[in-house]
Amino acid sequence: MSWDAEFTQYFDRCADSMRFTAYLLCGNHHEAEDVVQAAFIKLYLAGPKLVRREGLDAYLRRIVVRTFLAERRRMRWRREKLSDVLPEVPVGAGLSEDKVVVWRALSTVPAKQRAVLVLRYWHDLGVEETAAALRCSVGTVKSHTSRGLTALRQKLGPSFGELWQEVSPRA
Amino acid sequence: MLEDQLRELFEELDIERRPRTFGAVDVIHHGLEIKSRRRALTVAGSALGTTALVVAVGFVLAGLPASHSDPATPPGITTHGPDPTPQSPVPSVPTGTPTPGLPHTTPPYANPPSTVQPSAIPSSPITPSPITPSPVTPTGDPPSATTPPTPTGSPGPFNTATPRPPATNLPQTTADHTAHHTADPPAATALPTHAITDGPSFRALTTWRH
Repeated sequence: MSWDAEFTQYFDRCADSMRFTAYLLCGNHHEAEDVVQAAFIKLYLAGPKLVRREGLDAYLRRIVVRTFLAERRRMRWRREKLSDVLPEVPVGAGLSEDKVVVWRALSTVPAKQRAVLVLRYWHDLGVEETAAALRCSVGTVKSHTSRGLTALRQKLGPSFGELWQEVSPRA
Repeated sequence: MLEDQLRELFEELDIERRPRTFGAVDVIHHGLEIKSRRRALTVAGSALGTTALVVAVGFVLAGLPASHSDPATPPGITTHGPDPTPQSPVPSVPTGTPTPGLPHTTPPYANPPSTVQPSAIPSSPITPSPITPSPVTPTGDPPSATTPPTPTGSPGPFNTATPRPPATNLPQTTADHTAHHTADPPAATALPTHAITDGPSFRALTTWRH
């Protein structure tokens, strides 16, 4: 089987999950599409040189996360500047109000902490796997996790936990 | 706590699916474009590098003889070149055309056309010796003068000599040259070396200029 046919099959199988991962990382669909497309192009170019094809999922996830971090790093040098006041963030229509609040608070977390939160609580990766994906140490992953959760709590406010405790059993 | 709420949030967000805006064919097409662009850049880069290398080697090779042509000399000292080798010794014998039946009226020796008289330079360490005219006496035998020269002639300086402009206005002919060769080879070999070259006049000129 040629690499093009193999890549087409793999793309049909994994494109949706990678797009959603990119959406969690970026916070909007447009940027997520760009990141996923760039990641798939990198995978297509590097595919013929790959010796092992077993861990393609982890490899592609790593590409997506690093492409997202590179885009955010490059964003400083762009002419478009992001403002502190976020525009209206489009969220899913079926989300409850508390989820919308959490989603908006997550969009204000720094990129690397956000990547750590997505990898650990969506992909259920361990600390070592997250460190390997982000090419950093285990301690860095732990500190990023702690700081990300702290930033989320600060954004949500001290009363959010109590409110969520009240809402959660009913939900 | 917050971690559980994050997981619930991610699961709820995953329910909503959006249509794809690109497919595998688009990715493959874009990847092939990038590949061809990289290949073109590689070819252009290697061509540029090869051209630069060839130009650099050419400059180096062109600069090597120039550096060897100027030997290092201490400043302030002018060096006189060696005596010019008698590559084209001038025959001191008049090269008049011996016309049969006519007497030889030109003098046997004419002074070299030098603008500086060697005796007029007082500081010349080398005194040019006057050139003694060779006792060449043409035989005046026309049949023997018109015989062609043999290549196995005597190895004297007259064999390699280019004839000088004649002192007289008479045109020089081959018959004259051959006549001279066949006339008196022993007299030519008996001449001193400095007498048949331009060495004294050249040396006098260079000394006078400095």
